[in-house]
Amino acid sequence: MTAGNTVFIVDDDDDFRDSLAWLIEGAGHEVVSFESAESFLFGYQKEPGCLILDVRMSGMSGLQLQQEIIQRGYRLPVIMITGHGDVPMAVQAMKNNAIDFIEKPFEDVAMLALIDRALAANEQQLQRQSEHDSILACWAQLSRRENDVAQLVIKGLANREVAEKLGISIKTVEIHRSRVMSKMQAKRLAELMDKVAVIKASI
Amino acid sequence: MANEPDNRADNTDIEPLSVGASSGERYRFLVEHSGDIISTHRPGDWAYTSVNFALEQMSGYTTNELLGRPAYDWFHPADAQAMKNKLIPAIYHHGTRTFRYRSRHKSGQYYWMESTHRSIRDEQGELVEILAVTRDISEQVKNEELARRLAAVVDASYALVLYCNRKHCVSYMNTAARDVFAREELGELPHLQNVLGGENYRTLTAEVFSEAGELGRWKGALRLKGPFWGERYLQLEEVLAHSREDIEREGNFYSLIVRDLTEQKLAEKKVRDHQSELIHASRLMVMGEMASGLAHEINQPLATTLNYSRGAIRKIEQGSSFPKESVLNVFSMIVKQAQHAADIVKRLRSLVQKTPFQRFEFCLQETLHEVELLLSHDLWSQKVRVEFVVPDNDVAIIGDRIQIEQVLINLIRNSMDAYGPYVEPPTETGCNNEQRKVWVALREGRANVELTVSDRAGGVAQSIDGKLFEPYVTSKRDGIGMGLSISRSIIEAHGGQISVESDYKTTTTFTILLPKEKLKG
Repeated sequence: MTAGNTVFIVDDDDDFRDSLAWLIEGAGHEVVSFESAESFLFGYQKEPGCLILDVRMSGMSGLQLQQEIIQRGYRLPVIMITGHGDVPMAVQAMKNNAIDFIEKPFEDVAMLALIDRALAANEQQLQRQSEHDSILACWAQLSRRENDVAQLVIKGLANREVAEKLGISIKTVEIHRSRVMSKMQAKRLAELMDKVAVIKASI
Repeated sequence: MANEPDNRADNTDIEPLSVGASSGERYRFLVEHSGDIISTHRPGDWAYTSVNFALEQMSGYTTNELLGRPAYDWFHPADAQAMKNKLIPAIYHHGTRTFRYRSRHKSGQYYWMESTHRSIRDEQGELVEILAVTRDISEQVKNEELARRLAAVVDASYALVLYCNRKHCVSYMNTAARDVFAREELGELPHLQNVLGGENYRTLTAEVFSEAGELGRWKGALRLKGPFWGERYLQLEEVLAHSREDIEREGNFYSLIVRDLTEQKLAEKKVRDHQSELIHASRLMVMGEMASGLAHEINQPLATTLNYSRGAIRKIEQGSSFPKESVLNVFSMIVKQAQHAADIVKRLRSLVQKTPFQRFEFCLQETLHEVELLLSHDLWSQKVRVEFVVPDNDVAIIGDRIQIEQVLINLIRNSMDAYGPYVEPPTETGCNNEQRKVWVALREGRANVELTVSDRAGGVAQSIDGKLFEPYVTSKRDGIGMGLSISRSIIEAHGGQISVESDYKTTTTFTILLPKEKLKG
């Protein structure tokens, strides 16, 4: 059992929920069950893992919970389950980035594979997130001038062009550039460009 | 003719003459006082040679007007002809003859008469005179006519008519009765026991004849059991007893009137079959509409069962430790779920099955519970809640449980549909729509059981109020309008009533009244 890889189940059918929890626990995952969308929102502490969600429930529906999760910015992959084979709901769930939408009853192998996929996706997402965060932290250390130089360098401008554009000497550009490379922990220009690409949306 | 002895028995009640009276005196006395017409006629032209007072009265003519004129002058022309051609020669040959004819009264009206003629001959055997005794038989002829007509009517009747004598032998069967009862081995004057069969005969003598004998008639409905007439449905409806004490003091004559209800029963059965066909078809239709919900109901325990089974197999295959309690737990969960699914299937099957109209006692609370279970998924997915108000003690009626279930499903689904499809409210809260409710109440009265189904989904459209139970009347866009019409036939078949009340704006209440008393049969 990997710490922090919790499988959350939200389904309002007690018997089914228990059986699913038992099945997934048997495969070595930690399981936390909720009987409604509302109780999940109350009890979830942003733990990493994945969520198995019944699409139709009394009270708040699975689709509504999925939207609420997106709105709150929780990064939790969702596997939608249904007893109905409801096409419009499946489309909506997939649009909201569900890992998959499967019908009850399902093959345990299929479900466990989906869980693995969801947990892997979650892990990857978390890794990307932490990478993104650390690069962003480096970027934040750049001075205003260094930032200006970096922005132009990643656009592919040569030192001379940067100097002309900023109205400073080539020598000064070279000094700023080397500081950017060291603060961003990049050895080559290509490496710098890769890193900036990760945080592009945030700068 | 004075020597002719009068040996007519019916004249003996006349006061006897004195012992010394001559036979001529006796004869004159008898002739004058007789209520019968006594006349003498001349051979040849049949002219009156003497008449008594009774003829004056009967004919309207005086003695003088009659004497010397042929009697057949007053006969109906057809009868006069017959008399001349047949009777007169016969009397010449044989001496006595009785003749029935119509005679014209002075007023012009004809009366039926019957004359007995006797020829009087001299010593040489020559015909001297004819003596005629005549009676007015108009009344008798009328009665005979009536009896003949009645007999013709009886014979032509669709009813099966049997006459039986006091020895219980069948003396007469009309055509309809012969068609059904006649069998070659019966022979002449068959005994009723052989005609109807031993069992019917025993019931007849034990129950029917005794009452008919006492009161003169028995009326009722007694089914006559075969096997002599195959599948025909024969019903004894009336027995008339005639004591005929003038003939025999012991025992009665009976007239049996039996009706052949085969066609009627077949027609009734056809109507019933058609009705139950419709009821069944409508039930299947409702089931079709409920199918996806019911499928989900079964799917849920199946999915649960599969989870447990597959999980257990996985554990065993991986060789994980699997303690006994855990195995037991898994299996009892599997059993519980499989049983749950089986219960649903059983419930469905009883609805799908086509059964003849049942008459069993059943508890209405149980029926309501069944209905709730059957509709649970639809209600859940439409977010409609049903509130039941039922008495604590069991309320039972006699009838067809499935059909009553069908009516309740119909009514509750109507209410549910009236609320329209459930639309998820835009906000994450406010999911509990308190307005989407159906109230079902069961009350027990002294003679009736009352079931009501109410909703607040907008009421009945005024335009179709009063026509709601007619076929093809519906307020639903894709409805065909059979549900309520069939519900009404079901309730009426149970001897009950169904009605609807609405304020046309908000509320609709359907009320079913079912009789509580135990039904026979």
